[in-house]
Amino acid sequence: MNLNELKELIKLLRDSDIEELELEKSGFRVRLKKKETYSYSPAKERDAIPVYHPAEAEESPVAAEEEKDGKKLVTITSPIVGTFYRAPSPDASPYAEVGDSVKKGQILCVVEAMKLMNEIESDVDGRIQEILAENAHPVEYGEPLFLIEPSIKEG
Amino acid sequence: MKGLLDLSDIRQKLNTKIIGKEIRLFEDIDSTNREAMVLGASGAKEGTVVLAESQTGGKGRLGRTWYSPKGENLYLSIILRPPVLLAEAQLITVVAAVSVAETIKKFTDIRPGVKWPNDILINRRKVAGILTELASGNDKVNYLVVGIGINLNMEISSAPEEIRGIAGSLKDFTGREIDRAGFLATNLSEFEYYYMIFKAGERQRIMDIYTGYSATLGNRIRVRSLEGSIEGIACGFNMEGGLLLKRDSGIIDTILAGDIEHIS
Repeated sequence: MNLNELKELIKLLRDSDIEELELEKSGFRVRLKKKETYSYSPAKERDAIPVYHPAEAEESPVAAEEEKDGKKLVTITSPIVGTFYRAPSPDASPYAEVGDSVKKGQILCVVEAMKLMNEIESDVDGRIQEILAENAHPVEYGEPLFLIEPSIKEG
Repeated sequence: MKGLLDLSDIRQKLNTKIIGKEIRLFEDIDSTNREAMVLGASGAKEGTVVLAESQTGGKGRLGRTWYSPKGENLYLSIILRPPVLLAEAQLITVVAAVSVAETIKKFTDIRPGVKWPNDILINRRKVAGILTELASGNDKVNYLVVGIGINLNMEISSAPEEIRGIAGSLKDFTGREIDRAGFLATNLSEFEYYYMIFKAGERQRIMDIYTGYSATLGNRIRVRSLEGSIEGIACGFNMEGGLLLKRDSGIIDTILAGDIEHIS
């Protein structure tokens, strides 16, 4: 099975009502499950190791727009599986709080995987409406982290 | 007073194409990683190295500091711009671990162990630590900074009490002074070698060497997070460098984050 076939398979699963799919083909086996928790993903047995990561096959989820009370909100999502941190260290103050004005490119949080500290930046100028993930908890690929109300552009 | 690092000495010993072609040497700095992140943001070239004789706030994980006495060890940060997706970038921490382990083996004939993901150990004492920071945009790596601290010649007896029981230096184990410029040049060259393999997408080759150095594999370990802890036997790695943990129930979990502790 090549990467494209796998991508097709993931797409098929995503667009369907099927929750879980297991496929065996000439010594190759793949198991796909919707909304799998990858930081702690249970596999049934030794051979069923979840080596393939849907992250590589999905489209960029970093920013998505959402309507709320008639206002357009921008969702900042996690680009990787890891641990979500709101501050650079346990004693430091958070990068951003609800109600803070933020600039495009400003660091909002860090998501850590394997001692790689991934600084997540804001995609827009705006105000933080909501923080959706909990400090020091695991987050999934594509999981919403922040809701931001973009500033109204002048002119 | 021991000799300080000399850039022309390092350049003479260096035989890399990209890594370390530009080196910024500081006698005192707060953190090489912080400086490298600033340089990265202002467009520094791939392979640029920030090197310091001492750090007042060497960055560790979660605000911890890396003890960085002057003139004894190596503290460096490498700026990289790999054309990979974010989900693939974490393997760079494995690349860095392999490069340090190979360099130690070449310099001392001691085969170090790597505690997942990238602590370098000799006789269970930590001799090197790696912390990577990444700036991203649109699911791609904008730049990343691999920070490496290696305890070469420091006297463990003069280290702060909290690390005296867990840290070590290469000199402790070899009984001789390590040539810092030579070690640095070899380490940068090893790093470049494995970084090219990483860029070529040959993850298996990197993971094979990494697995050979693993001090975690086969051990009973505990993974802690705020959501609780799980225990099991470290039974392998996936191609992203994630740790496969086999629980007593037979379930295998893939661990990508969290603190691990060896309990056997």
